[in-house]
Amino acid sequence: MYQLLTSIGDAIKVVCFYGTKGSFAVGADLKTLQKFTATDAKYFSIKGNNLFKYIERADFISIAEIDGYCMGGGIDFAASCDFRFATTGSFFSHPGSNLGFITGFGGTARLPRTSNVGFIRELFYTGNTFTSADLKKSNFLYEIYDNYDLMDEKVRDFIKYFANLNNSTIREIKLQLT
Amino acid sequence: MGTVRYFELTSLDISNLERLYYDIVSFLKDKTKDLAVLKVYNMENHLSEHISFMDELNEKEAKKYISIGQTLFTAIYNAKKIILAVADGYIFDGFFEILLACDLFFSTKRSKFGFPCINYGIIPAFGSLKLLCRGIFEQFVKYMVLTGAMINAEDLYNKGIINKLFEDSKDCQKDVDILNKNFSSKSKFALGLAKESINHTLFASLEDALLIEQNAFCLSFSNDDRVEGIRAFLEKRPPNFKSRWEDIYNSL
Repeated sequence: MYQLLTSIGDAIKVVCFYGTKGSFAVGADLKTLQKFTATDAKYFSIKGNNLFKYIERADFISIAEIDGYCMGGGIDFAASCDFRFATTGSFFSHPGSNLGFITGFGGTARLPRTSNVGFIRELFYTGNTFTSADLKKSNFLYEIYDNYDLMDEKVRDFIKYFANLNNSTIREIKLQLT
Repeated sequence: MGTVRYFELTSLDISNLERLYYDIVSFLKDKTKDLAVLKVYNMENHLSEHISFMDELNEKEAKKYISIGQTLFTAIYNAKKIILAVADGYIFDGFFEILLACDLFFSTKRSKFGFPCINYGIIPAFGSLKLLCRGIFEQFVKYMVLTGAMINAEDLYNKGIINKLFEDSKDCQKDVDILNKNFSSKSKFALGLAKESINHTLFASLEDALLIEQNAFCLSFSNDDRVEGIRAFLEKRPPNFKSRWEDIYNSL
């Protein structure tokens, strides 16, 4: 994905990310993580951070369209986007404390900056599953919609606001905000 | 499952703050407790007593008072175990500051919080202001501190400072028990690392915060809890985590 995103030219102003089959992203593959040494973990974390930092600082607007499960690294991924939309039936969880490790893709760094800190502590410490309404209340989600088609339609209307922005302006605004 | 350790802060005099500090330290070393609850209830009748106490402090005593307040605040904030604040009634100045150092915050709906000390020429100095400014909008914190206005629990709930509201302080016991059960089943090592990363990110640049988390992530991969946690998940059984921060605290 990093290679794909870095090859996007100036003509692209907005990139939307969405998942398939009832999930946005459900985090890392546990069978792979099971075999990791601390050094593997460092490499993995750097790779993930490079992608998410690129999305965060890119000269395009990034939008996460979440429909279904959004867990662990999936939440960190969405946190690196400029706007996050979700369907009301989506679910969010950061289950690291149930599995004996913490996230390595920037969740503890970005989520307290995008959302209410008290809620983010609850999300990480309890490992509980939360609804889109909880995430909207905590300011993580920009808007929630009843179903994917409606969300996608509203996102397509929303991105029209950015049609007249040029890429260097987008980059400058993002630099000022991060 | 560990039992809950309860503390109650009933006065802000120096000896009481010191006692609470040592109680917190003993909780951090106690392997039978996974969750502590710090209660502050009904301080409305203590305001005039507290103002009299502050009035009698000389410069040296004031320094000692702030020093022990900050030490207590830092001990709670930096603890690797989870400490829950439970508030009921009128919560002012140092009481409010100490509660803000906690990880999660329950309150009754009727509670009010604020820093009236500005009205008698004193500023909050236990360490909560920086934390509040990072947790909620800076201008709102300035409004609270500069006006001394008491803020409704519901406003702090809407701003994400309070996690849960209750009609009565007795009503929260069920949720305390659920939290205790939840934390008892967790990897204490991962919980401590998550707390460390989140609390540091509030005071660090994004770049530094990402590095802190990256290294905590790697550290969790050098610990047996991660092996057990993933194995248990894949085998569809509850994990049996063994790593505890008390082993580190007790050897210090």
